[in-house]
Amino acid sequence: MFLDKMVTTAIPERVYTLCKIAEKKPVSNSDLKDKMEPDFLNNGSTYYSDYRNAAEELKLITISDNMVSLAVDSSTIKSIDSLRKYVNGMLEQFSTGQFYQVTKAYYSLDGAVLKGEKNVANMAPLLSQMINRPVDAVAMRAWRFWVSFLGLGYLQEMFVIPNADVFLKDIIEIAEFDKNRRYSFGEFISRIMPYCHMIIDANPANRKLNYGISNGLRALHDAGVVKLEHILDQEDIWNLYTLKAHAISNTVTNITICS
Amino acid sequence: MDSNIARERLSYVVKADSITASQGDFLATHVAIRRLHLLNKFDIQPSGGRDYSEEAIYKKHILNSENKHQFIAVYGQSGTGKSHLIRWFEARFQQEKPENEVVLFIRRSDNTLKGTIRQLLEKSEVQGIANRDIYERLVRASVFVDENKLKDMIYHNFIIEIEHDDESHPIRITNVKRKRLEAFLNNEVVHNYLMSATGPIARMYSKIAEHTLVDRDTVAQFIADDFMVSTDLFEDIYRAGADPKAEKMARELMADESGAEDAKKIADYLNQFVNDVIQRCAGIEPGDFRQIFQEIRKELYRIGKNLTLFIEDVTSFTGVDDALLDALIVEHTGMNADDNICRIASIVGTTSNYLQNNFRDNHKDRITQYIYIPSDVFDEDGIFEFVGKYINTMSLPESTISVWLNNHAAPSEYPVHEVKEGANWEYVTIESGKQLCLYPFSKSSIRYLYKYGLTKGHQTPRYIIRDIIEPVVNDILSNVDKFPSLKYNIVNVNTTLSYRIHSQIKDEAQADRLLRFLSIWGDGNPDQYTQDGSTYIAAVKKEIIEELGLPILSLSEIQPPKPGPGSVFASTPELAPEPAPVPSPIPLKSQERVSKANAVLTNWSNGQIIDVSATVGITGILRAAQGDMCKFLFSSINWAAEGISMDNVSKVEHATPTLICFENQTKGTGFYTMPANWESVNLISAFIRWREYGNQSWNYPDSDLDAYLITAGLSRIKNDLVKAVNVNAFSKTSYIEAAIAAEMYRMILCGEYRERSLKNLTAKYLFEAKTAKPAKSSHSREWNSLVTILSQRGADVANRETVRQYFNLPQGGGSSVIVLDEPNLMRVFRNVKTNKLVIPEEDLQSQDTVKLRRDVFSYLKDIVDRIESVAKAELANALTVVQSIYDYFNNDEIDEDDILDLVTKSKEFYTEINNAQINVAVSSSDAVKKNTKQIAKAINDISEVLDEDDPLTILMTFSGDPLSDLQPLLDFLNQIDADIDKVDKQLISRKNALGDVVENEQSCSRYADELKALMVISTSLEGRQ
Repeated sequence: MFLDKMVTTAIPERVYTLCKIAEKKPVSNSDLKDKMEPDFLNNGSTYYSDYRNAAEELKLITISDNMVSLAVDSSTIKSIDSLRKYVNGMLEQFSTGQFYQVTKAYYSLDGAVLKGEKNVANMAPLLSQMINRPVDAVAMRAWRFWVSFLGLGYLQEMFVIPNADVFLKDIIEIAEFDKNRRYSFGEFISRIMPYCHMIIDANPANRKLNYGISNGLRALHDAGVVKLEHILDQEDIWNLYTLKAHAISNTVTNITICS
Repeated sequence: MDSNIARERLSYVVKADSITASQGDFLATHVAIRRLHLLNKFDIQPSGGRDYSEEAIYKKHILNSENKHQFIAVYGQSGTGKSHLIRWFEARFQQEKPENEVVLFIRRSDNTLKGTIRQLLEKSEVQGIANRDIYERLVRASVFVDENKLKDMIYHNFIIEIEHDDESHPIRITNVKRKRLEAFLNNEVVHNYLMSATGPIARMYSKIAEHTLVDRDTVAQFIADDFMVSTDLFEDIYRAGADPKAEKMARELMADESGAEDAKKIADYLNQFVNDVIQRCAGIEPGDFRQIFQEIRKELYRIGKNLTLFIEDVTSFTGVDDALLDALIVEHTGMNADDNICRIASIVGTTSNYLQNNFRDNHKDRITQYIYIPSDVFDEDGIFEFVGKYINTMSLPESTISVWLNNHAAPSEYPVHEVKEGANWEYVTIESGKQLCLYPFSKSSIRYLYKYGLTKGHQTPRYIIRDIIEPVVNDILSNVDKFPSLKYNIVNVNTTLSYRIHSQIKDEAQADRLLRFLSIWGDGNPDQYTQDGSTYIAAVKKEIIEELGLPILSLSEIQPPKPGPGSVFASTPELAPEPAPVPSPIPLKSQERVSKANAVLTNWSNGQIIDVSATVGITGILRAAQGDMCKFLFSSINWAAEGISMDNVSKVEHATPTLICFENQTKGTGFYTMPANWESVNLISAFIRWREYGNQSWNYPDSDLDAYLITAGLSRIKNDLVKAVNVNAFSKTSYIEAAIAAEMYRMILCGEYRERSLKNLTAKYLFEAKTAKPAKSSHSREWNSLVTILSQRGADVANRETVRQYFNLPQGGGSSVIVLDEPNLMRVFRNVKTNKLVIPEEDLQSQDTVKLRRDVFSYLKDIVDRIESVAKAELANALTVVQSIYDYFNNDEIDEDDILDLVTKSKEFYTEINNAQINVAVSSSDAVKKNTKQIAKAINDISEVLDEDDPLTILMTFSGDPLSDLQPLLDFLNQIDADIDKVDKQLISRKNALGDVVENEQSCSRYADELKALMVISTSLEGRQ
């Protein structure tokens, strides 16, 4: 799912459930499969290996001698939110994977993404061209589950509105910023950058944040999680995607992580 | 403005009825009308043609330099300023009239017949008039009469007129109808109904009585609506025990189609008597007026005078209008020359409708000139001047106005107040070049309130005074700290401006106030610019915002408009021609629809109700937006991640309450109610534009803001939504527990789970494919009946699907493969088993608004309500069966050995029969022998629960249908019974065939061996019985 191609069957909730079962005690592959997809369901086919692989890719579990064990501390899967935060913190490890590259390409479309296709599945050819590797409609349908779960966008039927508010909130927590301290925006970006190359322009010289990141920052500002400011005498000026209506309509120089 | 003076003078100056203002205030607030139409023939709403100024018409017609007979009608819609114009004509004429001209102004404020007569008699020129005794009588005639008494007099006089109708009027009704109408009007309920404050009698009373407060342009007539009988009214009439004739009439008037027609006919019929009735009630006899006029005109002729009458409103003359109009049209020349009456010129004000419907054709023909006042009597500058003059006049002491008036009220001398408040605000330049401060208005606010604050047909001077000037001035005088207050509706609110204000200002009341001010007093755009050292926010100078104590916000900086603002407010479109608009890619029709929907939303945020019940029109747009919001929320929230089963989400999606509803919504409920505030308006508007502008996409200008708004808005309400749809929102028990309990009961009742305890009931049972039900069972009628109920209308299938899907972790909605949330399944499953399928009674009575969840509880309740009686019936049934077995064996502890013993003995019995060559077929005991174990277990199981009280234990015992297991034994025992019976009969028959063998001793010994054998068998059989 993250290392290579995306599959629709490896959805976050299945990965989470699998981890919760393995949390109690190591369990054999067949027993684990029997718990989630027992034969008496008469499913005909099985998805087990897909979501187990996703869990393994995310280093949530290890498989040894056909026994599945939880590979992370229990606190990582205490809730599905903690799982999300964990995954968000390690996405950069999958920079060659299809999910990472598609997300990066999607975010780079900036506000223009709103004017295109209404169904992400139909965007496969465009994204395939952008990342120079095959992406099909099925992969895009799989992508939407995780991009929505990880807080990188909001699903509107089959369209994803880029807004990284939840993702950014996780990364801000991971980056362990001091609360109520005013950071220059450049410093803020450099501290979150190790986790955010996927959605932030890799060239900091541009000092330009795309639509999805800008939406996320504004949403956090509106929710009182952060405070964005443009202080006139500051030179570390970054450009958000322009939204004339918003209090932070374009430029920003400082950010405070509110308590 | 000078608020100290304005506070005192406001009520004197701001009068919707201009005639009641003092002469000074009247002239100080007068704004020249330049859009009058002159017509020779009546046209209710003339269009085109040349515009005339009031001055031009005055000189051409009112001044009457040719001294000719004139009968001029000034007409227009109610409130257009007819009275004002007539009063201005009169004032102008008074200054320039010839010496021999007697001018009489008949005011509407003296809106009674008595008042009209008194005005005529008060003129010094007619003091020497003949027949004074008649006039004295007329004045005496209207002594004070109690209101109710006078109204009753009017009412009953109509009945008298009907009763004595001599058919001299053109509209006639049949005798039968007349009698019915009379009875109808005599009915107490009808009487009270027609006498109500809004009824026809009140309208007529207002024309007779003094100092009533009805609309000045009310016509004292019956209308069809007065006689439309509603179902409620008919009920009241009927219940009160109406005269049959009255009831018939009421029934006729209630009819759907013919009722309206009949009502109109009755109204028209009764209107013929209005003049007579009012004259009689006012104490005036018909013909009096004509005579008075004749006398006045004769008197004036005698002393060499002419008469010019300015009649503010002829509508008020109902009751004498015919006579009056007859008098006014009589020329002094021609055939009347011998009467020696003076020349008369009349300028009569009337509404268009009254002129059209109530002037007789012969009166219309005698009108020498029509002057039409259109509704939009002022151009924009005229409206600014109109407002400015009112503000100025109320800010001036009365004495200053009087001095100006006494000095002939010359425009060049027009007094201008010293501005105490609003010096920085906008000014309007008037004719004399003087500047009037518009505070508390801006030109934008006047334009806005004129366009949106006045309803169609009310954009007239009267309503500008009543609905714009007075409320706004009152608002700022009463509480400048809250100005502009809540009462102004913002139409077409700029979403960007609204969003910026509400995101920057946390005090919602202040934010709303600022938005109102910038939207109505400013240009409503989210921009600011600096010019000549001043900052303009939404085209309002920053200092003015500060002056009102409003918060200052920061907007997007733009270039100042050209030419620069001539005032403290931005240049208005009149001052600065707008650049050619860039064609919008959005169709005009869509823009209009969105604009109208936004207007409704604005009103909603101001506390009005909102209707989303229809699928068409603006209501339909709002409904669609609500639906789109719900769809978005269903797809964007990670329900499963939030701990909400997708089965629950699906049930909520199909529920009658919508996921989202609006506060103050006329119909329907929702899981989450969006409060009527600006945040909600912004959100809803975004969805409206998504559908209307983008055709259900974000492909339209500025959609980036809308897309942001809906995502940011969702995160604000997500937690509340998740909580609202949670399974525990309505009861402590989740519906899935009820569903599992019901499924377990079903499995027990249908024999799919046949164990006597729940211990071995695993989750597997819940998901396995079900086997076909056995065709026949030995259950009680009650048991079978409950089993039938379980599958009625597919309830069992639906419940099983609920159990199956609740723990599924689906991907979107496209796969039939189930992946279980095993930890959650096991937790709930264990819980249900531990509780022995018991769900608290109060939860069974679920008031859940989600029908599909409620159905689960109902399904379980259907079972729980019956299991006790089913268990009892099953026990009773079993007891009967098992008792018969006990009786056979003469024992109530039967084990396998007892059954096998029976089998052995039965075999011996048949062997003996065979030996005795008795013709009875051998009954096989194989079935009994084969099922001995099962039969013994069934007897044992049943025996154990015969004293049991717990219905679940009983049901589980009978789940495997043990009575059916006993059937082979029962069948066998019955067969043996039958066979013994047969043997007995055959033995008797054989014995009889031997004849009397008692005397023959040898015969006794002859069958001794046989007898002995039979005795043995008999003894053995007896023991079995």
